Amino acid sequence: MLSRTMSGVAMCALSLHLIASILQNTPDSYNLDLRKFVGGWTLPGWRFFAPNPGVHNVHLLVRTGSGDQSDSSMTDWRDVTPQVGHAWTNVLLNPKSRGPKALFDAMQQLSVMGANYSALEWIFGSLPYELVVDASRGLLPPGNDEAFQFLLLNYFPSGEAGKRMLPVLVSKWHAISPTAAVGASNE
Amino acid sequence: MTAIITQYRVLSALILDRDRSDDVFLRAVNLQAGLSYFVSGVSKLFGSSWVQGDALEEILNTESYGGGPAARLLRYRPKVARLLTWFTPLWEAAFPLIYLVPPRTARLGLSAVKLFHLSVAAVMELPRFVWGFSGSHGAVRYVVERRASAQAPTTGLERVALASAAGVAVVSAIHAASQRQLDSERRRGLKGTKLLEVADGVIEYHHLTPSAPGVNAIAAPIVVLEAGLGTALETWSWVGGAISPICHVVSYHRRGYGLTTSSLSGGEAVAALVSSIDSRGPLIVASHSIGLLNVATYANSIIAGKQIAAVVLVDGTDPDLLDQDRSDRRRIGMFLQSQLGTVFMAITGLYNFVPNAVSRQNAFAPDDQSGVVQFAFSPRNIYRAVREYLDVRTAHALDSLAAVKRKVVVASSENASQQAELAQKLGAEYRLVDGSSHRSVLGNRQHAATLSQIVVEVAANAL
Repeated sequence: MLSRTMSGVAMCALSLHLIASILQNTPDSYNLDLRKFVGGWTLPGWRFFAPNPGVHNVHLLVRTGSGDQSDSSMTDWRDVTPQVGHAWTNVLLNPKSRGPKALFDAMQQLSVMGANYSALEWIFGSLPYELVVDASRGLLPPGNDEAFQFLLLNYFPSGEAGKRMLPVLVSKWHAISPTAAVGASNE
Repeated sequence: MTAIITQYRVLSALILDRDRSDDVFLRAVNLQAGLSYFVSGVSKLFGSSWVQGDALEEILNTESYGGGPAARLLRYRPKVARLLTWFTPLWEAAFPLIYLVPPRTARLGLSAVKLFHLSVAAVMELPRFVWGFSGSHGAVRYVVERRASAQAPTTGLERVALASAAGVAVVSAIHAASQRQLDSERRRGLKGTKLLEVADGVIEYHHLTPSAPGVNAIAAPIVVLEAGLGTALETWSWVGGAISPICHVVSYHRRGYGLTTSSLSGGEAVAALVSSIDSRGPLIVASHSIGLLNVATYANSIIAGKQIAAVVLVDGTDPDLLDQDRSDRRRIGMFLQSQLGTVFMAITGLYNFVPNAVSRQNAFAPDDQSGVVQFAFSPRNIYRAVREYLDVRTAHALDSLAAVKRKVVVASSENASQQAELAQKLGAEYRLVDGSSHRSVLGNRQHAATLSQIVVEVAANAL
């Protein structure tokens, strides 16, 4: 009896996951989320580089200052995008690409939110935003400032001349120390 | 794929009969493997840059995927990159054929696929695909060999999954078709639209007569509303309702759209509609998006004995920009791709289940909202929209509109700077509906109220 029950559970779960995977992977159903029908089980996305591959570089720029918008002593924007090393050995193993890829995906999510005219409050409260804030904090050049701000910039190498750079999002000011707060002028 | 293999192995281990457990596991992994290649190929065929042969070269220009040594070699061979761009989706979409060929051929095919993964790893430095997908090939071989040896499957897992998914898709498609039919019947009903008979068919339209006390309908202005590309006349419902107390309001479907069967040109159709209205008031035309170009075809004509007194151009299509788009193969490819995606959504009924811009950026009254959504996802209207986009005349459009006595360009925030330039070209007044998008300038009641005030002011001044 127990054996048949376990077998039934496995078959049902696998069948449901396979059905949901098929439906989730139709060509134009990016916004379809069937995870709720399979208990939150992650469904694979098989549309690699399709229908439109990502053909841009996402650059992460930061500047630091006191956190006061009226402060004129803030630094210039500096590009702190993590670089991935390239080598023939990456053909078989390329673990160092995973961190930058995760950050790229988070920045890409913010780009998509920006392109869809999402409310800023919603973007600022999102998980990708928090991730990019934390990553930026770790990538800041040394200095004595109290706060920082990041800028996401998409660069399209194959785009038309003069239309290759697209600023996507300027963050709020955040304290460089994760436990400190930034002044009210930021809001 | 690695995660799928691990998860499926754990789950299938719950089946205590070892043969059955292995069979279930391998068939489930096989289905995901076949699905992954097929989906990846078909999805690419929906992509303009894959179809036009640009995708690989563009990918290799990025820092993430184009910095490796092999990528640099390939970047200097654009013809090879173009051929690979076309070949990739074709073989991926054809992957299910592997289940029809003899096992020896299938094994050769799987070896070629492994070589493909190795090449991707070499060029794009993506080695995880080699491990994950090559790991699933054993499951594909298992199914191919079982089929070849005429061994009946221990379980009907694949059949259940594929038949169930197909069943859901068919039900969704039937549901969508019935919704479109329901909307078509609503249009023919009491709360729907009217049909004006003309020499070669009918024109679907909606007419509101002035309703405010003290307004003389015989002298009230006539406001004709031109819809945008592939959109229903109901997109003007908020504006029409707001201005109708003092105006005759006529919205209609151009040839090929909705229930309109007449092939009269824009000017001829509008003349027929205006002739049917008993008013000697001035004629004003308001357009949204590409409707501007239709207005341009008759802006200087005498319409049912009237000269157009004013035009209100809401987020109008700049003919110069449309010309640029239509002469650029990449941009026209992106347009056709988006329309192909919409056709797919329409036929499968996916638009009823996934958030889409038409539903999200419009918030009309229930019947109008349904009309707008069902209209936008009707395959016939999508086809007509593609034809209109490709065929609509742009020559002399700006001159024609510039000659109208009063011109007002109303911009959504989404297109503010572009519309400011258009206003300058036309010598038109420029107004901005703050916070609106291209669709919500009509579809959001608050934005539509702001727009209505502009139309009312234009109509009042034209008297």
